[in-house]
Amino acid sequence: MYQSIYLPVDNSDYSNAAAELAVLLGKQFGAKVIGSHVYAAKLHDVRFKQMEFTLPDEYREEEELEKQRRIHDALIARGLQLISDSYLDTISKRAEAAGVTLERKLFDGKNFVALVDDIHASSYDLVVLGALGQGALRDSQLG
Amino acid sequence: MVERLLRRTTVDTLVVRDLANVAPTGAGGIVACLDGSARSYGALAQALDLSRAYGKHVQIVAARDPGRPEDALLDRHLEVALAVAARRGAGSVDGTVIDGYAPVALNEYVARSKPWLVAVGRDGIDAVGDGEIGSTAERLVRESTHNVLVAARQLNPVEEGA
Repeated sequence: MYQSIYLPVDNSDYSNAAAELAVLLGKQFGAKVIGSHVYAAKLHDVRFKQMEFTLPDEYREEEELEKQRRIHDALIARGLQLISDSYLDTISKRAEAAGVTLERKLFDGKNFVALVDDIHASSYDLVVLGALGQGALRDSQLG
Repeated sequence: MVERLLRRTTVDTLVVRDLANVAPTGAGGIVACLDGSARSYGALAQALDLSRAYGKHVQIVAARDPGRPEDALLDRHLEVALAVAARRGAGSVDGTVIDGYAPVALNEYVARSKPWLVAVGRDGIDAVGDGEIGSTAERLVRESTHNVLVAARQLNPVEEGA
């Protein structure tokens, strides 16, 4: 019935519940689970550049700006990759315990754009995801 | 993000809404929403497969709007759906036609029956082919407190011999 189950995750309660169900379905139907997370390092980069004009004068020399951009990019990108990896590590342990094959995918970009692109480029049989993510507000109905 | 994914993709999507009833081995059966469209039969097919896998009861439900003469066909569609279930060797399956505007009536039915999962076609019998998600699927995904399977795959019951 299902051979490949796509699981976008963000470590929210709903996402963790979706992971539980995806692994159970993967075990039942012998399907591979593809855990996926999108982080937004490039977005941080853009935002940093947009705010550069507010920096004190001593940091607005082009050479200093380039140095700050490199430091910022490295810190943000590496940090977000580590966080994203930890999300998938949790799924990986759950899948391994159930004897389900897990493929890991990480993307840098706008979350729904990267996920839609990946879905279009792949041939997943089923997407399993939580109704609300980390950004949910108290009265949110749907993420 | 859920809504953006649903609007931009055509892959079967299971939205987890009920944190207290996630595992298929838990309480409640499966409600399959039927309107005669190929995607509603696709939703039914998956409901039947999940039913076989987990021993879940499947309740097929069609909503008949008294103001729409074409909804008289739903009785026949229900017969066809039950025949599909029988041909596929499904276990416990039942069907019913309820009165009301489908998005509202089905949402209320689901709220009352408290299933583990409700299966609904991504779009319905009135789809105009613009790729947009149907009003019943949209309503259930937004408002139901139960897990929702939005089926993109299609099934032609005639090809199944039903």
